[in-house]
Amino acid sequence: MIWQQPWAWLGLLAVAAPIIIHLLGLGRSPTRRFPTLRFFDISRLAPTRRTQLHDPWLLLLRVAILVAAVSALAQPFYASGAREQAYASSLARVVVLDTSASVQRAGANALDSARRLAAELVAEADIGMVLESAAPGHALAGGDAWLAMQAQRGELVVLSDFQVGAVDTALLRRVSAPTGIRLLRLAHTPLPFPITTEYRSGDRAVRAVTSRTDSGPSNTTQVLWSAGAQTDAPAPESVRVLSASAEDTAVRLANEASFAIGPQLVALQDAAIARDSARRVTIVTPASPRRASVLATARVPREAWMLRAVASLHADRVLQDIASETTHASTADSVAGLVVAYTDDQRAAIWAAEAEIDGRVTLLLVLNVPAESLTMPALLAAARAATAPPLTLAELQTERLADSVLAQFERTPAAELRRAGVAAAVRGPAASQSDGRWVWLLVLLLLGAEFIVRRRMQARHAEAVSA
Amino acid sequence: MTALSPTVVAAIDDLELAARLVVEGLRTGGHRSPFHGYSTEFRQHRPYRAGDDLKYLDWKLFARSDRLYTRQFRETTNLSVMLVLDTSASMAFPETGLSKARYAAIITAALAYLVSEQGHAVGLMTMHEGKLAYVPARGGRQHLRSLLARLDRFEAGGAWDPPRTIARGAQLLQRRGVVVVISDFYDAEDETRRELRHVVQRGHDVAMLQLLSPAELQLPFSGQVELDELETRDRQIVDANVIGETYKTAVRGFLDRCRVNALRDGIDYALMTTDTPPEQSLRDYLLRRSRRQSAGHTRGAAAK
Repeated sequence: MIWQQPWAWLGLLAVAAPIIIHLLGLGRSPTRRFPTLRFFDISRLAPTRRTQLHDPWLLLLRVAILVAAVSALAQPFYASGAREQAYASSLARVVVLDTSASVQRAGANALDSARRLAAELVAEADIGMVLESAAPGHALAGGDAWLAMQAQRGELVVLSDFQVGAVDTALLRRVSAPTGIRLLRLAHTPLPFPITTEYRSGDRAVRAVTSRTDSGPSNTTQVLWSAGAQTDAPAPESVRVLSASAEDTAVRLANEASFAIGPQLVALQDAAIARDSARRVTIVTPASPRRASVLATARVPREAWMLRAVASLHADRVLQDIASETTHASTADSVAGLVVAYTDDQRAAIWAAEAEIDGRVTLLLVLNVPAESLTMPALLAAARAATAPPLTLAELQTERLADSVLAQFERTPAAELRRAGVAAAVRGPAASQSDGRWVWLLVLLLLGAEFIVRRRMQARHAEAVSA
Repeated sequence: MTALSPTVVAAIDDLELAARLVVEGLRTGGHRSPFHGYSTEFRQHRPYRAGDDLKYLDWKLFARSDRLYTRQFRETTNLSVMLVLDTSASMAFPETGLSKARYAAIITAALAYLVSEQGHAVGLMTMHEGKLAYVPARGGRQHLRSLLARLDRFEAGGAWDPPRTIARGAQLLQRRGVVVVISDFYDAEDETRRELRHVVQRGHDVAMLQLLSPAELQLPFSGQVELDELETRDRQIVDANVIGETYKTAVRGFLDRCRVNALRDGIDYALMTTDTPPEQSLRDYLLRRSRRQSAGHTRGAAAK
C-alpha cells in the first residue's frame, strides 16, 4: 500500500475528539428531569463521569469513520501485480539539452544533431519533453518535478558536453530517488584561445582578446581590451529586416544609427562561439510587401529563447523610451502575439510573434511605427543585444567531468511502485488513480451505520423515558 | 367491567367524573367501603315488637333471659377522613403521560367521593408554595364538589413540609378519624415517620399511600444522563448503565423501610404505581384494609 499524502495521517490526532467526548459525555448527556437524586451514591458518580466511556459501539464507529476518512485523505494506492507490471513497463522521460556555447561550438550542426537525438529519446518514451537550457544543471529540478507528476516511471536524460560547471553534481544528487538518470556526453571542441571579439559603438571599435594559460601552478584566463580605430564593420546577420524598397534608405540609416545607441558584438571568431542557427529574428516594417502573408502565420511565441528575448526587449529602457515618444502608429495591425512597446497614445508600437518565414521558425518583431522613426534603430540595437550569444566565464572552462564521475550518478528508474515509495506519493498514480474513493465509500457506509446506531439508541432512550 | 387504564383516567379532565368512574368500578367489584365503624353507638334495649328488624335482636340476652329484646342505637357523628396530599414538585414526575400528581389527585378524589357518599366527613390538607391549604372535613355533596374543585386547582410544584402538613391535618379532625397521606414520601423521611406515629398515638387511623412511577423504580435510562431534580433543581450526570443496579437497590431499600416502619407503627401502608389503573390500586388497597380490619375484629372477639 502506498500513501500518496502521508502527512494526512496527522489527521489521526482528531481521533482524540470523539474519545474525549465519549469520556466526558460532552454533548451527549441528555438532560432528564427526575424526582429525586437521593438514591444516587455521589461517591460513585465522579469516576463514572471521567474514566468510563459511554456508548462504546458508537465510539468505535466514530473512530472508525475518522480513521477511514484520514486514510482516504492520505490517498492510498494499492500496488497490485498488474499495476506493478504496468508501472515497470512505462516510462516518462525528460531530456535536458545543454545549449550552452560550448555545445554549439562543436560544429555548425552540433546543436541540431543534439536536438534530433533529444527528440528520438523522447519518442522512445510513453511521454516526454525536451528542456533546452544553457545551464542544464538548473533545469534538472524542473524536469524532476514534471516527472513526479506523471504516472509512469521517470527518467532524466542530460545531453551535454559536461563542461565543468555546466551540471553541478549537487543538483544531480537532489534528483528524487525513484527517478532514473542518464548522462549522455555530446562532442565538444576545445576553445581556440586566444579568442578575439570586437564590439562596435558608433563608428569606433573595441577589441577584446581572451587568452588562457593551462600550464603552471594554476590556470589563468586573461582578457585584454584595446580601443580600435574607426570601423564600419557590419552587424551580424542575426537580425533580418523585411522592408519595402522605398524603406531601404531608412533601414540602412537605422542600422548605422543603431550602433550609436550602445556597443554591439560585431565580430567573433567562428570557432569560439558558434551562433545558434535555430534562433532567427526578423523585423517586419509597416510597408513591407510580405507583411500581410507573414502576419497571417503569426502566433504567440512559445519557444523559451523567444520569450527570453521578448523579456529582454521589454527591459530595454532605450527602446521603451523611444517607442513611447512616438506620437502615432502608422498601422493598427493587431497581431496574435505579445506587445513589446507602446506609443504615447497607448497603442502597440511593436509586436512580438512566432512565425514561419521561408520554412524556418522565426521570432517576428512587427513594427507598427514608420521605419524612418527613431524606434527602428532602437529596435535593431535591442534585438541584437537580446540575441547575442552569452560569453560567460563558465564557457571559458576547458575541463570536462570525467566519465567515471558521471557513472556515479547514473541509475535506472525505480521499477517497482513500492520502491518508488514516498515519491510515488506525489507522482505516481496521481490522485485520479488513488484507491481513496473506495475508502470514501467505506466512510459513507460507516456514517450510515453510525446514523442508524445513534437513532436506535435515541429511540431506545426515548422509549425508556416515556415508559 | 374492566378497569380503566391510567391513560384513560388521566385523559378525563373532570376530576369528579374520574373519581366517580373509579368508585363505580369499585362498586362493580362488589367491594364495600371499609370506612365505617364509628357511625352508630349502642344506646338501650327495648322489648321486641312485631315488625322489628330481626338483625337488631339481641340473641345473647334472649339466651340468658329467654325474652326478646331489640337493640336500639343512637346515631353518632359521622367518621371524619382527612386526605393529606403531597403537591411537591417531585409529584410532577413523569412530565409526559400520567404524572404522580394527577394520579394522586384521582385517588384522592375517588376516596373523597367514596367517603362522602357514605355520609362521612372528608377534608383535604395540602401545602402550596410553602403555605398550608386545606378544606375542613365535612359531609354533603356540596362540600364534596367544593373539595374536588379545590383539588383540581392544585398543581405540583415547589417543596412541602410533610410533618407540618400531616400534623395540621390531624389537628383539624376534631375527634378520632382517619388520616390518609398520599405522597412519594421522599422528603424528611424520619420526621415524617415520627409525625405519623404521633398521629396514630392520638387515636387516629393513619394510612400511607406511597405513590411512585415505574421510571422511579427502574431508572430506564442508558448511558450518561444529566438528571435535573424537580424540587431542588440540583443537577447530576450519572451513567445509568453503571449506577442502575445500585439505584434500584437503594429504592427497594427505601420502600422496604417505609413499609416495615408503617407496619411497626400501626399505619396502613400501600404502594401504588402510576402504571396500575387507579381503580385497581384503590380496590387492592381497600381490600387489604377490609381484611385487616376483619382480622382485627375477629381477634378482638376471640379475646373477649
